Amino acid sequence: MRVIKHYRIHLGTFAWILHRLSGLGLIFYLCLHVWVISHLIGGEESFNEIMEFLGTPLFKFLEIGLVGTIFYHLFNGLRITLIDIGVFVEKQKLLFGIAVVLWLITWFAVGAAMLSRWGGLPFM
Amino acid sequence: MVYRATVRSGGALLWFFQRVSGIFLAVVLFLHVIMTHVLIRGDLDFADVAGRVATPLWKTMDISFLVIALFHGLYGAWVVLDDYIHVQWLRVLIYGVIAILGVILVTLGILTLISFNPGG
Repeated sequence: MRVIKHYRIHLGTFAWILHRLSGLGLIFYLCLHVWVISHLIGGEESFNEIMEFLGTPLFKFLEIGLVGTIFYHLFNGLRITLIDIGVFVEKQKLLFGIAVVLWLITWFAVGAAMLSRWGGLPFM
Repeated sequence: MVYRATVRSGGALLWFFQRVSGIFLAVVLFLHVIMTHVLIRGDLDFADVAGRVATPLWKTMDISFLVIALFHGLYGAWVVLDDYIHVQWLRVLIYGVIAILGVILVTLGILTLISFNPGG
């Protein structure tokens, strides 16, 4: 019983730390994102130039990571909101499990679609 | 040293708004990711974005998205930093930087979004 209790505290804390870290990462990205997209003001040449720079494999790799960060924060955030509302409070471990499954499924699906669009998946 | 909170993390209203904006962002960001990474073909270029942003509905949607996302993110960052930084001048400095960053990015983002019109 003690072990289970200890584990439960650990899981929630772990989810909370990841939520904070992913959130900090996302706001850092959003600041850069607004700046990158603002190149639209400079016209087609200016925008396509920066998009070409961001089209290199390094940034594409980072983009896959970004999608994973977004979906973790999104599904864990919905889980936090449900618990704050007061529903599923007693089932928060299950709720975290569901959030993790949805996170991994969406990350995998969107990641696969991105790789396929870039021509990285021979079977798609 | 007596701890005095010159700047605070926020109140119940902001906590509530963080949840409401979170639900909005969960829906809109999900669609944003699907639209920009799954539904388009080839690489994203000027024509793709310009065509979409030019319509009034998208413009309204994107401006709401921009403002709410920046508020949610910058306020969230402040809540996190508020927990770990206890040096007064540094707290005031970070609070100021976050506020200024918010004003600059909202302005830059809106200027970007309103620079497109239908047919041009």
